[in-house]
Amino acid sequence: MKNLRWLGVTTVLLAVTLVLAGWSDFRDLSHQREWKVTTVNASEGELNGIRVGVREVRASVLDNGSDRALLFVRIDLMGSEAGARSWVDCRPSLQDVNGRMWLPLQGFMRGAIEILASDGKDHGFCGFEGVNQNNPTTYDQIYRLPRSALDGLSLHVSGYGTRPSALSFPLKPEVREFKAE
Amino acid sequence: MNTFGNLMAMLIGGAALGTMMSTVPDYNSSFQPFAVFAGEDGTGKGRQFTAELAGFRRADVISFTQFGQEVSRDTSATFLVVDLSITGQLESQKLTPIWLGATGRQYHQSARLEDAPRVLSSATFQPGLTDRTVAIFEVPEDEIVGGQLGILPSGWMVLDNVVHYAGPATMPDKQAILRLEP
Repeated sequence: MKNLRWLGVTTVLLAVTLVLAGWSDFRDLSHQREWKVTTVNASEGELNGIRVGVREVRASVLDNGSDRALLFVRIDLMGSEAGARSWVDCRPSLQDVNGRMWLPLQGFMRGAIEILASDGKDHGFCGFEGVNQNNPTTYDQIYRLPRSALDGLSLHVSGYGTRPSALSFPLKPEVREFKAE
Repeated sequence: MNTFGNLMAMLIGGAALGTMMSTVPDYNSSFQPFAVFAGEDGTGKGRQFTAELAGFRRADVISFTQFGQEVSRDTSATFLVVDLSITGQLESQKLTPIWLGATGRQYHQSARLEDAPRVLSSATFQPGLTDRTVAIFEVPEDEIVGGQLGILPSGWMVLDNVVHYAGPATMPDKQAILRLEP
């Protein structure tokens, strides 16, 4: 009987330790994963006080049968300062039906934005500098992905502060074919 | 006696926990990332990538072009260049290569060659795309035969894999100047 009591105390302490240690890990994980995705079948959606609009989606492929494509996505954000603060940051990712996720390119590859954008300008990576309630602020992303993945893609937009919630916009890119040199 | 036994169990348990917590590196990170080994065909599969080892090269000098300027790097040791083809799996992923030398020392990729074309640590691998890449190490010659290449995800490694590849069985041919092209 005495041994059973010891075992009981040990089990309770183990469970408490697991809950205390596991809770912070679970919170960290939920800030990384998008478990509550709201599909938006329009060009605009709202999350945590920020309105997200998808403005341009354009893919470029080469005429030599290459299996690679570049995809340009222009979005804009509008909302209150408090809403922008609650997002913390901005992660626009592409996802397909198989759960594969592509993140935007950084560095010199962003030069392709100036070729694919309607105004020939790169408005910078998605963030919250200058976001306000009166005018939409534009941001540009470019992705590298297989040509075969262009069908059935969706754009997921979330921030560290919104996750596990995210917005999902199904994409139908306009495809431009360029001549390979 | 029973009280003495319980007290001893508690003290031994406390000492074991204290030992594990004060170990550097801590016991948890000693077991992470989990090691997996590439097959005999040189193909290894991690959780986030598949990498095929294409070969090893050695050089005294490595040269390449950067923004229209010729860049050349030499070394008092040897440049060990590992050619790889890497395919991303589920997420866009950056990777880190390490060379586990034959004497047990561990080498990181040469920081002086981070700007060279197709260098592994500067690349991001995309799901569904296969890219050629090179990992370049500066190592003493006796670290090459019998060494191992390890490729692991950059950053967060909890519950992830490091993929090990066997080093060359014989010393790879040495080039005086190896030119890296984009």
